[in-house]
Amino acid sequence: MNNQEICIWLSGIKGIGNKKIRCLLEYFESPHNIFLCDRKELYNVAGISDKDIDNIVLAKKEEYISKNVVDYIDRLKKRNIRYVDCFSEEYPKKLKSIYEYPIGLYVRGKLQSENQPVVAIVGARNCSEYGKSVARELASELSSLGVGIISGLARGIDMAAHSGALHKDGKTYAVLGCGIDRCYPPENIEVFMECIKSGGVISEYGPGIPPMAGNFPMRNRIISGLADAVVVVEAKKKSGSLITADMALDQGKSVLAVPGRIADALSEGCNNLIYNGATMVLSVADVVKELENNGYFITGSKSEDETFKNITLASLEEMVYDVVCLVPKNIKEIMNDCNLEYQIVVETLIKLELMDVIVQTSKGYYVRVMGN
Amino acid sequence: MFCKCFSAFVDGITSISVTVEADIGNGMPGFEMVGLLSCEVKEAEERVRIALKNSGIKFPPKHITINISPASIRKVGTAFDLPIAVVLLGAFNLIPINNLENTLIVGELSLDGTVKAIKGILPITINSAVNGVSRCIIPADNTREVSVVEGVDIYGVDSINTLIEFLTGRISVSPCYGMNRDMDMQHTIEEDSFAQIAGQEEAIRAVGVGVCGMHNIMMTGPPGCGKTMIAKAIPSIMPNMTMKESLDVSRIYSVAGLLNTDNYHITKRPFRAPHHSITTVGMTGGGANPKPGEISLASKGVLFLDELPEFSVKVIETLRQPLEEGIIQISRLNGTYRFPADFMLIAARNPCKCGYYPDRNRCNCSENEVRRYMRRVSRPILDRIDIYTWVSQMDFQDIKNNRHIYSSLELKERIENARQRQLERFKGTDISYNSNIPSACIYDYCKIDKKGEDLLEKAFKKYKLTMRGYYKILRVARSIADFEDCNKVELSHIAEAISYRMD
Repeated sequence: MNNQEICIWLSGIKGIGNKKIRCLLEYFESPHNIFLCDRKELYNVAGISDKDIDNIVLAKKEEYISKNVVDYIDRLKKRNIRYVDCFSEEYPKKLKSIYEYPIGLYVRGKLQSENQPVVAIVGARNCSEYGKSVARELASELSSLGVGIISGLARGIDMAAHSGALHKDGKTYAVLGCGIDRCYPPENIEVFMECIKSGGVISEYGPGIPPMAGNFPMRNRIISGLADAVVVVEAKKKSGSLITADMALDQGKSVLAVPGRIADALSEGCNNLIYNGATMVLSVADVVKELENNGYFITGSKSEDETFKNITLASLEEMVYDVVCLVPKNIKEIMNDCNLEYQIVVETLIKLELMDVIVQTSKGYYVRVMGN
Repeated sequence: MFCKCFSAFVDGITSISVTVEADIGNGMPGFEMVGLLSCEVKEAEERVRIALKNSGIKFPPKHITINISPASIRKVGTAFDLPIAVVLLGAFNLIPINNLENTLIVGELSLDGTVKAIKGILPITINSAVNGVSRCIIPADNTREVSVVEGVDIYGVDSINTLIEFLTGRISVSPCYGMNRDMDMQHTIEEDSFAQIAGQEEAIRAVGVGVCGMHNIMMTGPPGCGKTMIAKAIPSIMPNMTMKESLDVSRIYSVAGLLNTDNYHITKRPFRAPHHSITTVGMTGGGANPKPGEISLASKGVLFLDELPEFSVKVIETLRQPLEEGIIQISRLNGTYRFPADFMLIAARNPCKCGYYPDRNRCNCSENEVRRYMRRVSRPILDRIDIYTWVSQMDFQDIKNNRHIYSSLELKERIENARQRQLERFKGTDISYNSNIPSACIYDYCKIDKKGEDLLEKAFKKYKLTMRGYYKILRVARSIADFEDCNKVELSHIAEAISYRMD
């Protein structure tokens, strides 16, 4: 058996998880030795119980291997799923350097290349329109600079990041908290398929594993592990994204956060991160700078001024446009802020919307389109 | 001896004429009633017998047979008491029979001989005029309701004794003909409900435009922002009813038994606001002998459905036909009934379950939850709503300054004016409001210039409008122009109409 087969064999054994596999590897040094050793030797391994030994010995039987390893690999091949074990050349070095790296990764599509800078963009699921447009904009700007975007395919910020990257035909990677064959949440199937095409979908879990709550913090360590920098766009006080940020810190990655208004619940997490020393993201340039500090050379990085290019508008349109911002404002607020009559405001808003410089996010609420 | 007279009973919102016959013969004394009668009609026997006895009339013991024909139609209601009593009196020769020719009699009897009001007197008398009856005798309490009916003399009686004296010619009762024929169509001035609403300019304007052209409106907004208050103020700006409309609506109310001596005629446009626990039958009308439901009672007026997503799906879906055709068809064992239901729908809803989306500081609903909440009302129903407006949270400045932009009086004046324009515009057609301009002749009524066309074309592509959505925008633009007292549909009207689209 080769390393890949042994890794699959190991992770398939009942009662043996990541931790115990690591104990075994530490003791035997090579995966081969685990397979070849006899029962007696297993007793010497710390952290392995008698029951585990029984299971390991049982798993060495021929019929077990043909069913759970050989057939399993066949099935993976049929479904175009690759298994990249941690001894393989392909296994990302960034990931290998983290504590508790996964024994193997299931991959559909491609894994990131070693020299490509990758940024993780994470944030709240129930995010605001503002957060969504920031995430989308950051992702698409970074993509156009050749930076890979990694995220968790969750609702909200994650989706915005993936779709922003896909918008610019960038490379985007989705790390799942469930089996590699599952799309969770199911409504994101389109982006899921797009990710496979443009970048890759990655999971620690094999086919058929349901999206259990416990899987997600584990997934977060892969997201941060695969990235060079983690950008938190919107997060509440107790957010899963903060776990990702913590793990990124543990793994020695850069943590960046997009600031928000102090009164907004969705900004609390991010503002706290900044308070505690995370780099503040005011524009793409901040992320690029951070990547350059990490030793990457980003070609064609834009200066801050260029990111927001000017558009020429008639004076009335200018007035209304100035009032519309990245936070959704309803017609009433816009009216109050620019002191114009209802009909004029409505007419101008429609004109601006048809010019694609603002967009209606929900009935009666308008935001600016970023990047203009 | 044999005697007969005409009577009628309510069926749907029309009436069916019948003949009530009595025959007195020898044989075993008894009282027999035939003619496919429901049990409340059969119970008339006791009421009639005792009412006559208590009115001092004595019968010799004879075999009495009552027949109500045509015998093939099932008869319902309590309006047959009085005609039965009258034909009995005729058969016993207590009143002259020839006086009953071409006379339609309806009324319920009390045991002491007084005549009580019945439901649905309006369709009965209106129909009798059509069927060539020259005289109606009805309960005195019902006379105010029918004072607008033309072509037939209507007499109100309050007891059997009055009726006998009237029929024998001993007293004369003046017909209620012309009693208030010109009707008190003069309209009471409502309290100025819109002046009590601070701020909410956009929503009130949208409502004004909607009322102008009878467009269905959806108000979306957080709880407590005044959606219900705006809706409740709408009756104060509804245009006055024409005589014909008033008669049509009164007819429905008469059948539903909602008219009485104080409120004997509907001169104000109805405003119905059923609670969301309403059943399908309550909404559409129904029952073994179908009665009009809320949508029919809201005819020519407003049906306000507060918290639309909370209504049961079935109830909302039944609104499809009436919203499209202005009638509701109810099929029951006894037949198919068509009730009018051309109401203006005003619906209110929250943007999500907690009500505060997109304010992320208060709303923690996931996008899916928001979508699911919005999806509770099906697309076909939403498609039939012309104007979508956002009612925002009240501004403290507005509350403090008590800033009122619109007053009911001013709004009503503008709306009356806009309705007048529509009346003139649609003269000679069967279109009554902008909202029911058929798409075939939409360009005849909503002419737009090049600039407007360009805007519409851009909007059509950008928002991926459907044909229905496109025409809707044109109709609403027409109403906005009318509201603004403009002959031409201008660019700003079209832009505003686009802003009222669904999403």
